[in-house]
Amino acid sequence: MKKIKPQRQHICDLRELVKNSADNRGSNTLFKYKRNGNIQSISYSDFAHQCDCLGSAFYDIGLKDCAIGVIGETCPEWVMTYLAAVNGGNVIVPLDKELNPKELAEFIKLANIKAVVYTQSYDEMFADLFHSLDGISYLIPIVTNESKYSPDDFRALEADKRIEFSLLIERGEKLLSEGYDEFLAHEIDREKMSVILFTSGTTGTSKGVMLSVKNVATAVNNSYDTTEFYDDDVLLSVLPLHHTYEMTCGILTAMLYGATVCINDSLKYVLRNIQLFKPTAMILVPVFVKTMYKKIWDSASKKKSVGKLNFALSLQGVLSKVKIDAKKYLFSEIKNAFGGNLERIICGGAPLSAELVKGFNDFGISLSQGYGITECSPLISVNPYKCEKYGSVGYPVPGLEVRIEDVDENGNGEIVVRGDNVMLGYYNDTEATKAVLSEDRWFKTGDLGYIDQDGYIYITGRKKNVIVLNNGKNVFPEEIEEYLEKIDLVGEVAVVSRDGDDGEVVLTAIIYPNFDRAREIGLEDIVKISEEIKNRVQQNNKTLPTFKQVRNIEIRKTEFEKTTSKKIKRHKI
Amino acid sequence: MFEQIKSLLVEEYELDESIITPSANFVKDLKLNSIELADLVVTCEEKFDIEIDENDIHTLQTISDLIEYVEAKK
Repeated sequence: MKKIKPQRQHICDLRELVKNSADNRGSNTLFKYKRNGNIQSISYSDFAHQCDCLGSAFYDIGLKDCAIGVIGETCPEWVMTYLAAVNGGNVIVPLDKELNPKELAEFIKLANIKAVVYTQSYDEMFADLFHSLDGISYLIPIVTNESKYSPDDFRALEADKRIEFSLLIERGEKLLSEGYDEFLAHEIDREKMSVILFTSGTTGTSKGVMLSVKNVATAVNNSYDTTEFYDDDVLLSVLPLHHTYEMTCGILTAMLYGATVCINDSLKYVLRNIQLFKPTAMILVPVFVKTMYKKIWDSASKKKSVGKLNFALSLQGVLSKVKIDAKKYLFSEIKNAFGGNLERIICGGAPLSAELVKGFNDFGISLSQGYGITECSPLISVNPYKCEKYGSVGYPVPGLEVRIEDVDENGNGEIVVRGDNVMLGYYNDTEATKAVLSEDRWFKTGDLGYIDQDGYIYITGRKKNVIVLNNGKNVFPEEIEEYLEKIDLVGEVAVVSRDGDDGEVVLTAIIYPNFDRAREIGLEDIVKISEEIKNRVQQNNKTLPTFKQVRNIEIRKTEFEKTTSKKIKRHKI
Repeated sequence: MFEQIKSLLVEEYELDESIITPSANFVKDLKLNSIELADLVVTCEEKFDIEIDENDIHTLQTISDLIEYVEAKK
């Protein structure tokens, strides 16, 4: 029987999302997750109630009209914090879980964060940081084993400025049972700044993208309109929640559908968790899709069945011409490798090769490519289900105006957009805001491309410096350069992307050595200098998250060409 | 241990034996991506009965790094 997409009402704000999903699908499971060795779950109605408890408790301890940070591994409490903060008129600041303590402290100060909710793995970090965080009123750890405190300890813990998450829920429960309704009655201002998302890992290079409730709600509605999910769908959440792509498209949109979201507890277990949770749909970035595709062919090669697989693909090709779809039977083994139920993948965050899109679709797993940017909360376009165009990032989401500016002789220009999902601006940075957002609210994406006669968008390049890796992570060259400049043998450095053998983006540092320093330590020969620099960069890599590690080093013997303000001319590299 | 890891890489990732040396870099030389590396780590955990912290994965750049880490944990 053909499934029918559920007709859900568009949401005005995120309180409506929480309330409507609880009213309509209250007993459905919202989250399934591993905890203390077991698989646990929480229903839509329980989740909604706990959101109200948490929001009320936030008010009770004075967290009102302020910024609340959240950091850690994906868990229901993370999402609850986001929603309770926003629905109570606070500003949520999702923080990157790969930040080091110094960077974390800087972001907390920069965003004027009054309370931070964090998972247990950050306990030690916050214990060390606490005394240096002047502006912080509360630390709120999510403790997953049984708490040693009782609700009676609440006021004492409040005075200590460290209150466990579960105690806040209990506190809220008590308040609500006594008729406290300040949080529930709060009138949501859809235009006000409600989310700050930092675009990179250091305060020097990062911009804080300010989103309103209207921005996020529009993006959720758009995501709902352009995807094809059902309320019996099971999604597996593998991407970090501090990225708006996962939060908006993976979590909040799934809530609008009434689907179940299973939580991947670690990158280490992603392939195993696909087997465990048997998702029907996944929101991914290219690196996952590529790994899955490679696994299909590696496994066929191991079983010496590559010929058989190619034959099945040819057979389906012939059958398609007479409108027969036998993919379900021909490729059931492939589906079994991914739990057996996987039907749809939405992929965004970085360019995806047309070969992969076609490959998955041929196997009967629909793969749609989309395009988004944090500043657009994030969705700009999605390939419509079953009307995909290979190589395109899809059709603009409803209500979003898209045009191409400064078109060159090949028809390419900058992609510029306008709509209710476009950010308010950059936090405390009028100059940067003015550079990308016009007075009549057109936003310059910094991406280059064109629109075909059917209205599909194609991306052909990038105007700004940011390097987008295959896993969707954005790397700002300036940030990596800052790390490398600390190596005394590095005179000048420019970080760029190079294409690897198999289409991978390879982070490359082009280095002009500090020859004076080399001589001081007895290195004259360029080969020896290069070797020493490479060793030092390798050591430096070990201090950085994998995606920021430099994979390739090119040594140059002449200084870089510079502008009058002594900046390296990147376009001349 | 090197031989054990080598056969694992050949079997699981269909890698050519000749490129698997102790100094081979997982990403640069063996072309493993972050998910494959994370999956290899779990396979090593099971094979050598140890636990590798997810936050330590980024320090394991070469096969030697992995051997050193596993030996220290055993």
